[in-house]
Parts: sequence; structure tokens; C-alpha cells
Amino acid sequence: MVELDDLHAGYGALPVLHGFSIAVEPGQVAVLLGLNGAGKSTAVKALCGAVATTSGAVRYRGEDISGWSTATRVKAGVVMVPEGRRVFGDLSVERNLQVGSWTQRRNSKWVRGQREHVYKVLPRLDERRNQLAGNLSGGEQQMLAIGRGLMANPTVLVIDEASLGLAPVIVKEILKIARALADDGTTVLLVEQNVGALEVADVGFFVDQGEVTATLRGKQLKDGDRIRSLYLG
Amino acid sequence: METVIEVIVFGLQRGAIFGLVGLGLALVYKATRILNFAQGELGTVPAFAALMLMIGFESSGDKAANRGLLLPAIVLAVVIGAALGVALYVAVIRPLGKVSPVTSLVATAGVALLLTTLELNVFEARARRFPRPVNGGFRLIGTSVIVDWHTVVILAVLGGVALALAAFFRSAPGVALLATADDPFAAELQGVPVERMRAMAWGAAGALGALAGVLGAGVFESLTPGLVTSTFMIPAFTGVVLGGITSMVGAVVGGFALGIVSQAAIQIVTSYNLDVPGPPQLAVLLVLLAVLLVRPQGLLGRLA
Repeated sequence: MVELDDLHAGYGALPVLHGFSIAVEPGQVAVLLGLNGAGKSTAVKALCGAVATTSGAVRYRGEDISGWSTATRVKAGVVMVPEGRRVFGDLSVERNLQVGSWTQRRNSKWVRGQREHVYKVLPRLDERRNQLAGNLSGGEQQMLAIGRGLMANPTVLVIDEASLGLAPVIVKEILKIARALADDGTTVLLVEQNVGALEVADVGFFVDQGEVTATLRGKQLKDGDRIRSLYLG
Repeated sequence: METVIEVIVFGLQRGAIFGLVGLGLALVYKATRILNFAQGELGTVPAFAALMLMIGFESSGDKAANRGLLLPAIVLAVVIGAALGVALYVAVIRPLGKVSPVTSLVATAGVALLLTTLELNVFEARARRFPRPVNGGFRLIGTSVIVDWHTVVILAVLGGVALALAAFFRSAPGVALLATADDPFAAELQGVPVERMRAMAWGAAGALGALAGVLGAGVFESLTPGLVTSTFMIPAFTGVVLGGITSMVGAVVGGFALGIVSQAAIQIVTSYNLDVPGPPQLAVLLVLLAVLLVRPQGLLGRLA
């Protein structure tokens, strides 16, 4: 479904990714784990077209999309929920979702249906439809950011640092939502510093210094000693 | 009493033009955080284009304008205003990139100067007769105050523009524009064409400017180079600051308030025979000063 193949990318003269490779199957939850500055965010930004790549391929459904604009990728179903939530604070919850459906706006019937679906999956938003996003709590804003992403009809949903700064109970709720989305057929990529995210993962990638240094599957995802040693080196 | 009504009627007429100019200022500020000092010339240039169409493209002679062509001339003006707005954004603002507010303000002021100079070169420093869509007026019931039909036309246009803007900000592109203003990166991640949204805001501001130019020239029934900048720009800007710079409603409310304030200033100075130079300008600047001192975020705005 999604494959980053020997990706090199960075910001100006500063290279961040040095041969970054992952592959994620449809309907999986993949977790990109690693310390601050490891290159996780840069990798998913390259996937969404928010960072230019210098070499390597970004493959989606077998096609190299590295030359596509962000807008084209969103239309094709690759959608990112940015780090720090970045909801539109001056707009209501409902309007935030409307912006999310930008690429689908011609299909108003689908948009209406999807909006109700989002409210069902994220009931906390339902109660706050007409509130300004800026007045929501951190957890609610994170849910709104995810809901906004869902309004773009994603096949692949990238959630960058969803658990940052949230209470553990909210983090759990958001991870559960991610799992449920994947079980519904959406491929989910979670960028996390929180190892707890591995509990809902099908595959975990440990990222260090711009490369994937370990891939965890099955039982390995619950191997605390292994994970600890990856983190501590 | 009659004097008060007269002040209000004339104040609303000027105020509606201030409102049209102010809406353009507020829209551009909302979308791109830039104070566009060329907004006035986005009005004067299209007004000259409209005049040219009505006099058959003879810039030298003093041919009377063909009023039959006024409607197509207004349409032409609006199209040119919108094109100018987009061009200003694409050719001047976007290439500047991320600069301080003062830099972009100076750039737009430079554009205003350039356009005014061009007008002076082509049309010379003199007034040309400019027609109104509807001539004459009517007596306000129970008074001896005459209201120009032109005032009614301006208010109706402003009302139509306000309704159109309200509808726009509920539509998908309007909401996407608000989102772009709020967080361009997040908007882009949803596939919103951020640059096109900004250009669209500048284009809409240009169209509003053109309406202000054509109707504003109609107020004096004459058009001179730099007209909208010299007569409407500062009060409109003050009105926008008073209303709360990103608020569309505020721009209109502020425009009306400034219209009435400047008319009242004229009235007071003439009836008491005071020796004060430029009463409306003085009043406008005093309001600007007062707003900045007492409530810098404006009536309907929030602190940035």
C-alpha cells in the first residue's frame, strides 16, 4: 500500500533521511517510533509531499508519487494529521470538518454522510459541533484533527505525534480510535515517541538518525526488553 | 433636527464608500496579513477604465460620457479591479515572500504611488465628469432633506456585497480561505490550494475597490487621478481599525461611523464658524488616535 524506498530528504543543506525504507500493508497500523530528531516526522512529511525528497521513491499503490503535490496526494487518499493538531482555532468544529472535506466538496452527499460517521466515531466532537476549535481541550483538538483528516476520505492516514502532551487516558482513547480505523480498512501510520502505541500496532519501525534501525512484528511488539534496548542503544 | 438628519444621510453616503474600501482592506488583511495601501488605486484605475469606455477611449478630449454605457463600464471596472488585485498579489506580494508588515505596507504604498503617477501621466491632473447610475433625489418624508438616489444605490450595492460576502464565508471556498488565514500549513495538508485562495482574496478586494471607485467618483460626479486614495482611503482604514481589522462587519460598521463623524465635523465647524483646517480629515485622524489609545483591537476584533 505504502512504501518509502531508500528515501533521502532534508531541509535545505541539512540532510535528515539517509536511505529511509518502510513498507506498510493495507489496513495495518504502523508505528514509527524513535527519539526527537530521529527523522520520523520528516519521513511522513515526505510521504505527504510536505517535504521534498532528494532521492528514493515514495510508492503508493505501486506508483511512485514523489513528484505529486500535497493536494494531489490528498485527493488520491494520502492524508496527514499534523503534529501539534493545528486545528483552525477561529472556526467551529463543523467548519473544521468542512475544510477537511475540501477535496471531496463536489460530492456533498458523501460529505454529509462522512461527517455523521466522524461524529459517531468521535462522539466528543458531536457534542461540540458549534464550538470554536480554539476552545476545545487538547484531547478534543486531537480528535478534531483526526476527524478533519477523515473528511478527506483517506486510504492512508498519517497521524504525527498524536499523544504529545495528552493525558494517558486520552492517549489510550486515541490509539483505540486508530486501531478501529485500521480495522475498517484505512491504513494508519502513527508517528510516536510513546512506546505504548505499539500495543495497537501491526508493525513497528524504530527510527534512528534518519534510518529504520529495527522492524518489529508480532511478538516482538510486546518484547519490552528489546524495545528498551532500542531506545537506550 | 433637520441638520442631524442631513449629517446622517450624507454620513451614510460617504460611510458606505468607506465601507466598500474597508471591506477590501479587511479581506486582504484577513487572508494575507497585509495592509494594502494600494486598495484605493484598485478603485481609481478601474474607474478610469470605466470612464474610458464611456467616452470612447479618447483620453485627451472632454467628451461627455455616454451614460448608456454605464452598466457595461461598471462590469468592466469590476473585472479590471479583480485582475489588478490578483496581479498585485502575484507580481508584488508573493515574490516578496515572508517580510515584515512594514515592508509589505511600503511595497503596496509604492504601487499606489506608481498607479497614481500613471493616471496623472495619461489623464492629467484635472477633474473629469463622471456619471451616476441614477441621477436626482427625493425629499425625505416629513423633512426638507433631499436624499440623492445615488446614496440609495451605494447603500444597496454595499448591502448586496455584504450578503454576497456572508454567503461566501459559508461556502467551501470561503471556509477554506478562513482556514488558510488561520493556519496555511494545516489547510494545505487538507489539499486546499493556499496560493490560489490568497490570490482570490486579493481579486475579490480588487473587485470591491472597483465598486468603491465607480460609486465614489459618482458621489462627486467627477474623477481625478488618485481620487479614492486621497478621499476615501484614510477614513476607510480608520473605519477598519475601529471595527477590528479582520472583521468584515466591523469594516462596514466602522465605515459608517467614520462617515457620520466626518460629516458631523464639517457641520460643527461651519455652523459655529470655527477656524479649523480640514475638519473631516482632522476628525478622522482623531478617531484613529482614540481607537489606537483606548481600544487597539477595535470594536469587533480580538487582540492579535
